[in-house]
Amino acid sequence: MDALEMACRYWEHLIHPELQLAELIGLKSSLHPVMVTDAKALYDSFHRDTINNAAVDKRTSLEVRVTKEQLTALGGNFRWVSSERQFADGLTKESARQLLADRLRYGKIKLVWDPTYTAAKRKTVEERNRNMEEHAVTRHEHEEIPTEEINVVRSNEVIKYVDIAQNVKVSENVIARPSHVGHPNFLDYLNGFHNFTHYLNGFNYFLHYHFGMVILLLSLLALEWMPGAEASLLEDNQCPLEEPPLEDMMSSWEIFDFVAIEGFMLWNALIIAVSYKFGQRDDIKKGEEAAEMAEILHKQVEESLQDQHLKMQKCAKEKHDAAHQYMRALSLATGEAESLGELVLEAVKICHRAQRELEQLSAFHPMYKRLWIAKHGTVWHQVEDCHHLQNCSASNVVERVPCSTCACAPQTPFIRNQDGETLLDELGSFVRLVLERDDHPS
Amino acid sequence: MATAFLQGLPQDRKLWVKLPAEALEMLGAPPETRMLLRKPVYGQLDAPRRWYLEAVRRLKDIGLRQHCLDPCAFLMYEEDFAIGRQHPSTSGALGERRLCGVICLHVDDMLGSGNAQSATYQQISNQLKQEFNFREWQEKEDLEYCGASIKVTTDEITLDHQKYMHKVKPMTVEKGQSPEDEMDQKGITQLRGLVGSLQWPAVQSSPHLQCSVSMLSANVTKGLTKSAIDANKLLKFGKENSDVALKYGPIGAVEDLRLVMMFDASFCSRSDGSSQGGYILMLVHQQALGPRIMCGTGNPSSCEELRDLRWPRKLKRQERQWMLLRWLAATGSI
Repeated sequence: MDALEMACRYWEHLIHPELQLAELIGLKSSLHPVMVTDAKALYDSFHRDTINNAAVDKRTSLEVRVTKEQLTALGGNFRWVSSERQFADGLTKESARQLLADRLRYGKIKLVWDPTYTAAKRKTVEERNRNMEEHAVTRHEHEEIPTEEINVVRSNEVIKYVDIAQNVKVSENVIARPSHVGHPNFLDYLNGFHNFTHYLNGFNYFLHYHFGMVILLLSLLALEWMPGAEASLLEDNQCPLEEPPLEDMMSSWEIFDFVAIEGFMLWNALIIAVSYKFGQRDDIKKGEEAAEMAEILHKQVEESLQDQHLKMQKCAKEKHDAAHQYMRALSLATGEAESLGELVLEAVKICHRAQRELEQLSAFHPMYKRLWIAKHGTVWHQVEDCHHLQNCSASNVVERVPCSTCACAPQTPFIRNQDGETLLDELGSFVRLVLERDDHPS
Repeated sequence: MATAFLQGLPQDRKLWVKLPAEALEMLGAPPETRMLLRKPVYGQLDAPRRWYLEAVRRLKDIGLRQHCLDPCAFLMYEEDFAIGRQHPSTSGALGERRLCGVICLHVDDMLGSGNAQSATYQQISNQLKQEFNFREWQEKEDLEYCGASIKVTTDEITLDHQKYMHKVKPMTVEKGQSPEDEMDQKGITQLRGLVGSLQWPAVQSSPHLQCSVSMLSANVTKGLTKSAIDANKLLKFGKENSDVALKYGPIGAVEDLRLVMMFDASFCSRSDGSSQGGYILMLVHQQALGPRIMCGTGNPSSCEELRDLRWPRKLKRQERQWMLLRWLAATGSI
C-alpha cells in the first residue's frame, strides 16, 4: 500500500509541482489506483463493511481496515483475479519466474472480469494454462523466423510442385516461368502471345496459298497483257504514227479473255479478302476463348496459391504452438525433475542417517554383549562391574551369551526379509545405488 | 560528466595532501612538498556529497524544480520559463504548468528526456551544456545508462540489461562437491559478487529475477555450495531471458491512465522459514482494467454477493442496453 501511495504521490507532484507534500497527501490520485490480489479471503475482508469477527487474527483485520482507508483516500479500488492471472506470482515463487518473464516479454495486460468468481484451483488444467499464456510470449515465439526460412517456405518451387502440379492443370509455359508466378499480368501476357502466334500461323497459311494463286494469275496476265500494247512489225511504208488497223486491235475473244482473267483475279481477291476476314474473326474468337481459359486458369492458380499460403501459415502456427507447448511442458518437467531430485537427495540423507544409527544400535545390541546373572537373581546385567553384582560373591555370578535365535531374529537390526536382507543391508545398498547414479548420470 | 568531483563545491576545510613521488617529479616539486586541496577529489568521503550539492544548485539556477520525493529528479516546466510562456507546447506537455522534460542524476551520470518539440526543452538543453562540463553528450536512439540499454523507437522506449547479462560470468563449482559442503572464503566472496551482479539488473529492469535473487541473498552467509549452484542456475535463466525488457509505450491520454499494483505473498517459502512478498506496479490504460462491476451500487462485500449480482431493477431498459454495450465494448467483445 505504501509503495502504491508513493507512486501516486510521485505522479501527482509531477502534475502539481507548486503543492507541498502535505497538501498532496490530502488529494485523491488522478491515476485511480487499483490493487489486485488473488486471495479471496483478503478480497472479501476488504469489501466487508464490518470487521470479520470470525477472523482469528484481529491484527490482520485491523490492517485490512487501514489499507482500505488509505486506498479510499487515494481514490482507488481493490480487485481480485484468479491465481493463474496473477503477475506477482513470479515475485514470490521461483517456479513462476519463467511465466513472469514471458508476460513481461509480451508487454501487455488486461484484467478480465470473471463473473463466476472462480478460483484457479476449481478450474481445469487446460483452462488455467490458457489463462496463464493469454498475456505471455516465450522467447522461442519471440524470435523471428529467419528470412531464409520464409523464402524457402514461400518459394515458387514449393508452390509449383506441391500445389499447382496437384490441383491445377497448368501448361508447361506456366511452370517454366516460376519466377513470374504471382505477377497479375503474367498469364494474360502469355495468352496474348499465344493468340497472336496462332493468328499469325493461320494468316501465313492463308497468305501462302493465295500468294501462289496470285503469282499464277500474274504469269497468265503477263502472257496476255495487254492486247492493246501488243507489238507488231511495221510495214515498210507505214508511218509509225498511223493507227493500226482495226483487226489488229483487241478481238472480242481477247476482250472476253481479258474480262475473264480480270474477273478471276477479282474473284480471287474477293476470296482472299473474305477468307482473311473470316480467318481473322475465327482467330479473334479463338483468342478470346484462350484468354478466358487463361483467366480461369489464372484464377485457379491464384486461389491455389492463396490456399497454399493459408495452409502454410496454419501449419507454421501449429508448429509454433506445438513447440511452445513442448517447451512449456519441458520446463515444467524439468522443474518437477529438479524438485524430485531434491526430494531424493533428502531421502538419501535420511537413509544415510538411519544407516549410521542402525549401525550404532547394532553395536550396542545385546546380541554382541555378554550377560552376567546372579544365580538367585531375577535380572541380567550388561556390565560386569555393575554394583549390584558386587553384592554377590564371584562364584554366584554366571556369565552367559544371548541366544542367537530368540535374541536376534525378532529384533530390528537382525530381522531379515524374504530375500534374507536386513534393514541395514537394504539401506546401505539404496544409498550406494543413489550415490553411484549421482556420480555417473546417464 | 568530466571530472565531476572537481566541479563540486570548494572544500570547506583545509586538507593537505602528500602527492606521489611521480607526480612531484612531473611538477618539479621537492619531495617534502605538501599541497592544499581546494576542490574535492576522488576518494574523499564527502566528494560525492559536495558534487551533488553543486549540481543541485546549478540545476535549480537554470530553473528546474527538484522532485520532493526524488531529490535526484529535476523537472522542467514551461510555465517556469519566459520562452515557455511565450511559446507553449500544443501537445506532449503534462499538467497545467506543462511539464516538458525530466532530468535524473546518478552521481556523475545525467539522463534527460522530454518533449523535443518544446522550445523550452531545447533552450534548457543548450543551457545545460554550458553549465556543466560534459565528457560526452549523447542524443541517440540507443544508449547505455548505468549498465542498462535504453532503446528509443517511435513505438516505445525499452529498458533492458541484455548486454550487461552477457558479460556476467558464472562462478566455478568444483566437481564432486556436495551441495551441502561449505565453501571457503574465496568461494563465498565470489558468490557474493555474483549475487550482487544479478541484483543490479533485477532491481532495474528484470523483475523475473527478483524472487530468486532475494532468496539467494539470504543464503549467501551460509556459504553452502548449493547457493553457488543456485546462483549459476539463476544466471543461466537470466541470460536465456535477457531479451525481456521493461517497455514504455504510448498508452493513451493522461486522463485515461491508471496505476495497477498486483501483489502477492507466499508464506514460509524461504529457506529460513520466513515469507516472501512482492508487488508489481504498472501504468495502464483504463481499458486494460476491463469493465467495472455493473451493479452500480458499490462493490460486492463477499463472494456470495458477487455471484448473486443482478441488474438493478430501477434501471430502464435503454440504460441496461447501454451498459451492456459498454461492457461488451470494454471486454473487447465488440
